[in-house]
Amino acid sequence: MSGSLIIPGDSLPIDSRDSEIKTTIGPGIYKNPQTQSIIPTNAGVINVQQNKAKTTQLVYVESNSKRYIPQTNDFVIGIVTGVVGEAYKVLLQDFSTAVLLSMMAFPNATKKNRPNLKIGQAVYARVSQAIPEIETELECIDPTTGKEGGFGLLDESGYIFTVNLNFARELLFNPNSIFLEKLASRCKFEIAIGINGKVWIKCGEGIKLEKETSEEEGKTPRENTRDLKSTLAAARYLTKCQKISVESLDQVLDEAFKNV
Amino acid sequence: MTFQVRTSLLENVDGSAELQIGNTKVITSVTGPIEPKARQDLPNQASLEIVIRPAVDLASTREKLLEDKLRSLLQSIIVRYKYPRQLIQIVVQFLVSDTSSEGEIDYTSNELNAAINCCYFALIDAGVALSASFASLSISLNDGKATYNPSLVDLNKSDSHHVICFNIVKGKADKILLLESQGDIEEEELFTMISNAVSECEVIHQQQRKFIKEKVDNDYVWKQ
Amino acid sequence: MSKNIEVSTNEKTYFLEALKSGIRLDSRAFDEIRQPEITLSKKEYGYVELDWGTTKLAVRVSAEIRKPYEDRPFEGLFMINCEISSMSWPHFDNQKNSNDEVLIARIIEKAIRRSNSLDLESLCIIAGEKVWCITVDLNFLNYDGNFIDAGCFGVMLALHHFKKPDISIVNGGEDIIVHDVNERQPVPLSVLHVPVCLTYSFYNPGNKESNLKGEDDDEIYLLDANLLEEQNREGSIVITLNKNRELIQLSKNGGIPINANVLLELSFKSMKIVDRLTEKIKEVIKKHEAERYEELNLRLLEVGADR
Repeated sequence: MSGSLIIPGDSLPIDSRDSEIKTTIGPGIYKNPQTQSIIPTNAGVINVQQNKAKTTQLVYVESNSKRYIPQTNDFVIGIVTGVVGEAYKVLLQDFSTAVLLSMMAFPNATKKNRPNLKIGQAVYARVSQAIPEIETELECIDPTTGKEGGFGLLDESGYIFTVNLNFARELLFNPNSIFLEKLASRCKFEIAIGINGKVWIKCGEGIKLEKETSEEEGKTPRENTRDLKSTLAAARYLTKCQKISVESLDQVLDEAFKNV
Repeated sequence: MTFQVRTSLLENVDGSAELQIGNTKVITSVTGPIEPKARQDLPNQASLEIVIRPAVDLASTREKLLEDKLRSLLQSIIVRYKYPRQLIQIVVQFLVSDTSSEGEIDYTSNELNAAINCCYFALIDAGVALSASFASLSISLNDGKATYNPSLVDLNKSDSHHVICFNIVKGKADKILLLESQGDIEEEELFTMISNAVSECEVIHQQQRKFIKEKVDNDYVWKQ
Repeated sequence: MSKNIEVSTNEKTYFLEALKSGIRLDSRAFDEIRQPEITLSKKEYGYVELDWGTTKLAVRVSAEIRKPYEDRPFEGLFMINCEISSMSWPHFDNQKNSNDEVLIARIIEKAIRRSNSLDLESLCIIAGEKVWCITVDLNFLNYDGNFIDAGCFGVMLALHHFKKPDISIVNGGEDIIVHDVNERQPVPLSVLHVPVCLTYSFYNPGNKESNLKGEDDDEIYLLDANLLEEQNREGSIVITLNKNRELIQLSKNGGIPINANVLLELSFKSMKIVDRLTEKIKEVIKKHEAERYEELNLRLLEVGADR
C-alpha cells in the first residue's frame, strides 16, 4: 500500500495491466521495454496517487540518494566549468557528465549581447532537455514569460553547499517545511535551492566583494564578518538538519549560531 | 548465519556499505552514474568498473578472478539500460579476511559471498536501479552435511564448498544468478544443496528487508 | 572522469574571506589538528581503523618469514603498500597513480621506512637465511584531506599494535618453529622512534597574484587541511618530527615561497602536537593491552616472583 516499504523485486501495489486506468510512472519505477512490465528499482517508500475518478494514477518510489540524474523542468544550481562553442559547460555535481547552457538561453540574448559568465561561477537554471543518451541542456530563461524569472547568475556574495537529494526536495517543494522558518527567526537570508542537492544561501549581505568596498568607513571589522559568520552558521544548521529528528531542531540551531 | 551491516559511512561516494559476516569484513563503495572514460563509454547502457582490493598485499590475479565473477552477477541485475553512456564505479575493499597458512588452500568463497552481499547494500544505498534484490550464501559440504558460512576450519574439512546467489522476487528466491563450486560432489547432493539454499537465502533476504526498513526510516528522520 | 570537479567561486571566496578574518570553515584554530578516533582490533594484532576527522583509513600489519637481501644479511624486510582507490574519492584513478598519490606514498615511506623507525636488525632470525618480512597495507577509505599525516599516524599505531609470533630455533639452526599465538605469547616489534608528520598548507589571500610572495609577510598557514582547504591552497609543506626533537624529513614541492624562519617557527610550534600524538599512541596501546590482559586472564599465567 502507499506509504510502505518497497524494495527491488517486490511487486507494485497496482495492477499495471488494467487498461481502464492510465498509469504514469515516476522515480524508482522502471518499465522494461521488452516485457512491458513495470517494476520498482529502488528501495524506499511506495507512493500511489489516484485521481477521484480513478482514471489516472501516479506511481513512484520516494527514496534518498546523493547522485542527481537530470530530468526535464528541474530547477538546478550548476557551476560553470568551461566554454564549448556557443555554450557553457556546466557541472551539476562532481564527477557527473557536464551539461550545456547555451549562451542564447538567456533573456535578451543576441549574437552581439552575450552573457559574461566565468569559470567557477554558479547559475540557477532550468533543465530544458534531459534525454539520457545525449547531452542535457539547461536554460536560464522563464519558459512562460521569456524573462529572467529568478534564473541566471548567483553572485559570489552567497555560499554554496550540498545536501542530500531528498532534503533538497523537502526544502524546495514543501511549503510547510519548518527548517527555513526556524532559520528565519535567527537571520534574514536569501536562498536558492537546486534539486540537484546544491543550495546557495546568503545571510544579510553575505560577503562584501572587493570591488564594492575597500575601506568601509565607520563599519567595524566585526560587522563585516557578522554576515559571513551567519551565512556559514546557516549552512552548518541546514546540513545538520538532515541527520536529526525535529525535536532537536532548536538545539541544533542554537549550536550552529553560537559564535555569531 | 547473521551478518552485521552499516551503510552510508563514506562521504565522497554515492553509496557505501560495510558488512561483517563470520571472520570476513568488507567495505564497498558505489559511485554512479558518472562520466565514463572514453574507453568505458557504451552507447546504450551503463558500463561497470569493478575493483576488488584484498585485505593483505596488493591486488593480483586472484582478485581479478573475483572481479570477473562479481561482474557477471552485477551486469545482469543492475538495470544498465537506464544509464546509457554512464559509468558505475564499484570498489570492494576487504578489511578482515580468513587467511590460510602456507601450504593450505586459498579459499575465496567466503570473500566472494561477503562481497556480493555487501554490494547489494551499497547499491541500494547509492540508489542504483536494480531489477530485483539478491542474496548470496557460502556453503561447505562435509559428508553430505551442509555448513552455512563455514569457518576456515570447516572449509579445510569439507569435501566441497560453494557460493550460491539467488535473485529475490516478491520475497522468494527466483533464479540462480551465480553458482561457484569447488571440490567433489555428486549430482544428487548438488541439487539437494541448491533446494536447501533457497530457504536459507530467503531468511537472509528477510534480514536485508529489516535493515533496509531501518535505513529508509533513518534517511527520513527529519520528516515531520 | 577525474577532471569533472569544479570548486565554485562562492565556496572559494567564503573560504578565503573567512581566513582573512581568522576563521576556519570547520571552526578549528589555524594550528589545530582534527582529533583522531582509533579502533584497535580485539581479535588480531596489527589491524587498526582510524578516523581522522572525516578522513578514514584502515591499516594492517602482517609478517612472514623470508630470505633477506644478499647485501644485507642481518636485516629484516619492511614494506609499506599504499595504493589509493577511487573509494576514497572518485577523483583518484584505480588504474594509474596520479602525482598526488605517488607523493603521499613516497612521503610516508621516507618518514617511516627510510628513517629506520622499525629496527630491522631485530627482525633477523638466522643471518643470511631467514628474516621476518613486515608488510604494512595502508587502505584509504575516505578522503577529506591530509592522507599523509593520518597515514603516518595510522602506520605507527599499527606497528605498535602488531605482535609477531614467537619462534624457537632448534637443531642448531636447521629448523625454526613458529609458535601459534595460542601456544606462546606473540612478541611486539621493536620501534626505535615514532615519526609524526604534520602538513601545513599556505594561502596568500591578500595578494591577488598567486605564486608570488607578498611584501607584508601575511601568508596564512593552516595545519591539517581538509579537502576544501587543500583544493584552494597555494603551497604546502610536510614536516616530520619525532619526540626527540629530531627532524626526520621535510617536503616542500613548489607552491608559493615561504620565509626560511617561518620553517623553523613551524617546526617549533609542531613539537607540542608531536608530543601529544606520540603520547596518544603509547596511551591507546597501553589501555588496549590492559584490556586484553584482563580478557584473556593472563594474570593466571604470570610468574610468581615479580622482578
